[in-house]
Amino acid sequence: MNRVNKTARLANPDALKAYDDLWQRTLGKIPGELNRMIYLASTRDYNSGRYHHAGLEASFGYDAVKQALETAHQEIFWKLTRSSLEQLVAELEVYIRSSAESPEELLRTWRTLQPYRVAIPLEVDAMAAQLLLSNLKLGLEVLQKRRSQQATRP
Amino acid sequence: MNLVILLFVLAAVLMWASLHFLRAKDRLPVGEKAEVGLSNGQAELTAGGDLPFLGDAIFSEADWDFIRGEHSPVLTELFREERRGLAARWLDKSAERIRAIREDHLRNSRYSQDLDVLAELKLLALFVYLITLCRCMLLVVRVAEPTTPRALALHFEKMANRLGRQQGAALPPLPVEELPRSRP
Repeated sequence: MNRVNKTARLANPDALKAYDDLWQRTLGKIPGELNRMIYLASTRDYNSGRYHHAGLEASFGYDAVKQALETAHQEIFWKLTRSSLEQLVAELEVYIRSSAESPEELLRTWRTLQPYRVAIPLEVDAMAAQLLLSNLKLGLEVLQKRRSQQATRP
Repeated sequence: MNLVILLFVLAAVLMWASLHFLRAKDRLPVGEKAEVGLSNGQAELTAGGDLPFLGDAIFSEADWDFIRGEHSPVLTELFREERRGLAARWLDKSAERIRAIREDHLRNSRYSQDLDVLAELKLLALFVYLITLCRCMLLVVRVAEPTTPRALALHFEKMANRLGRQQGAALPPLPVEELPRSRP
């Protein structure tokens, strides 16, 4: 990401350090943007919407870590929202491959429960969020269709 | 009655002609589009709902080609449904934004002492044009393929941005102390 934009968003020097640490130790090691967005959403409390990361908070403090997690979450959200449908299908494939679940099981759960809906950051444009959710829904249908075709092939 | 039908047909022909003209004019080579996307960076992080890439993404020809490449009627129909819904919401939101700019301008112009009549007429024409365009696109979205109004949508975004700029240039916002304290 552009360093100038990041610095502008993270005015607090501790938040900037927490952000760099988050990328170096965690996000950089997670394959795929969708995987990263799901991880970041999992650090957020379902009820309060507050982000928590015990390890980072011990080094940089709650406010700095909250800013860093929020910024990273929003950046990845925008990257995914700007992706074409084809790129998003590739992201979904990476996510499925890196998951411990069987692809069939995961596809069935994601298509039915749509758990990706809770992975959207709080403070983003509603229309952009709808676009990403719609593209994820389409991407899952593309993968399901490909799997069904593979299964019926002799 | 015949005249009304003739006028309607004429309007439809004009709309389709402008659509095809704009489509040919605004189409970018794939590489160029990708470069534009990358250079825009993280502008959205600070944007408050006015996102320049949304129209482009909703009416994306690349997505439509990708879905057609899957050769599945079910997927094609789902894509049509999803994009029609998104396009309709995007157009509603855009029309709302234009009306808000116009109302804001009217409110400010009531207290202005040196109105430029020509600039005001230009703004009014642009406002009427944009709202009409918005309604035409809503109609096209319902009856045509999801990417058909793409050229119109990109043109619409450009003109909507111009409305914001012209409104600002024609009439700078009033200082707070000059605004009325209460309204009946």
